[in-house]
Amino acid sequence: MSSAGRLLMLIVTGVTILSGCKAPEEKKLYPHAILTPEPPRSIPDAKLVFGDGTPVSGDWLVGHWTWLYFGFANCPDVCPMALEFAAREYGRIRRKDQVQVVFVSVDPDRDRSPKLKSFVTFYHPDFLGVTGTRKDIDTLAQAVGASYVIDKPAVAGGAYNVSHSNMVFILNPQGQLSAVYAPGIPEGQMAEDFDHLLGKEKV
Amino acid sequence: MKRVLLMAVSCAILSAGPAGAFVVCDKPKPASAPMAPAVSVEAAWVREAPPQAEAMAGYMTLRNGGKEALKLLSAQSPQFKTVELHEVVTIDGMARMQEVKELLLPAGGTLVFEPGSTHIMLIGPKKSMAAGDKVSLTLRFSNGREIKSTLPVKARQASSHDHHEHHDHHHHDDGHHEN
Repeated sequence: MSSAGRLLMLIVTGVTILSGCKAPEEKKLYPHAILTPEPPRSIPDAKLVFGDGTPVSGDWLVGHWTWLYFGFANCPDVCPMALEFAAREYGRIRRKDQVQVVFVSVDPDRDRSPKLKSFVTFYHPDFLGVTGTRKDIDTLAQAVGASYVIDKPAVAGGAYNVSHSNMVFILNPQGQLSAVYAPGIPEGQMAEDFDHLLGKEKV
Repeated sequence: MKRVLLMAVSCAILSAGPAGAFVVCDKPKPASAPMAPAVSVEAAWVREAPPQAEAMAGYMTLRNGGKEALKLLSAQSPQFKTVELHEVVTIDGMARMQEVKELLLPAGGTLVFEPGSTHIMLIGPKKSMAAGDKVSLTLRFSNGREIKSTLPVKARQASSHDHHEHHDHHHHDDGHHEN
């Protein structure tokens, strides 16, 4: 609640990640990613919940690849485009069992509700929607380099806008940030990377 | 609101195309030779959103066939509580959606509303909308002229830029039946 109206900036943007990157030459695992932190970056614990308040289990990032997107359910343009993008790429990959797509709402005041699930599954039934306390969201967002700003509503209690990173953050099965993709890259490239990756991985 | 309704009385349907019928409304004028519509609406659609969505985005291309530059000042729809003109700016990978007070439609030029960029923000649907529904929109310009357009709500696969040969569409059938 206290968040609305406050400028909440997590100034750990892609630029910071970039500084920790080097261009892998031979063994390029994510040829179509825009960022590949090297080595993969560990993510601290963040206790998140599903929209209905059910806690997400502590090891939710472990044992599979995670595609993380930060947004909010009242988002009519950017998030739907990104989720459609993720749904198309996810739809293409062969090893769907190895990938979990997770939409993290940075707007718990409005999205800690069952509607988060219906929003996310509208784009693909396998997608998960999670949110949490401001602190836990910030922990996760900061760790991967996502940022967001929650605007002050024009009138008290009125609608407000949320700005947010428009990136898909990739965590490896150890739960470490290992790549970042930009939605809107040519169709099929991200799926191609993952088909290649999962074909080689012995999970 | 009342003013819009009054002006609507003087509307004439000029054309119906694939994007839906549009109507050009002029302020009542002394009888004169009918003019070609200065502004036309093309490729208009609204992105289908989940049933509980509180906001939807509409897209279109406005073409100004006239010799006078116009500014689009506002939009309204009887089906939504509020309609705003929005643009998306991206800074350091962070997308920021913001309201704009006016948008320029140059003489002989176009004003394009498209995903991830400038869009018509439709806030507070009075009833839930799904693909196949139609949104009535009135656009108001700086010269006092109003244009009415009908925007079909389109399913998300229709908005896909996917031109690949064999991608699976099977999952697109899910999720439509909630609520």
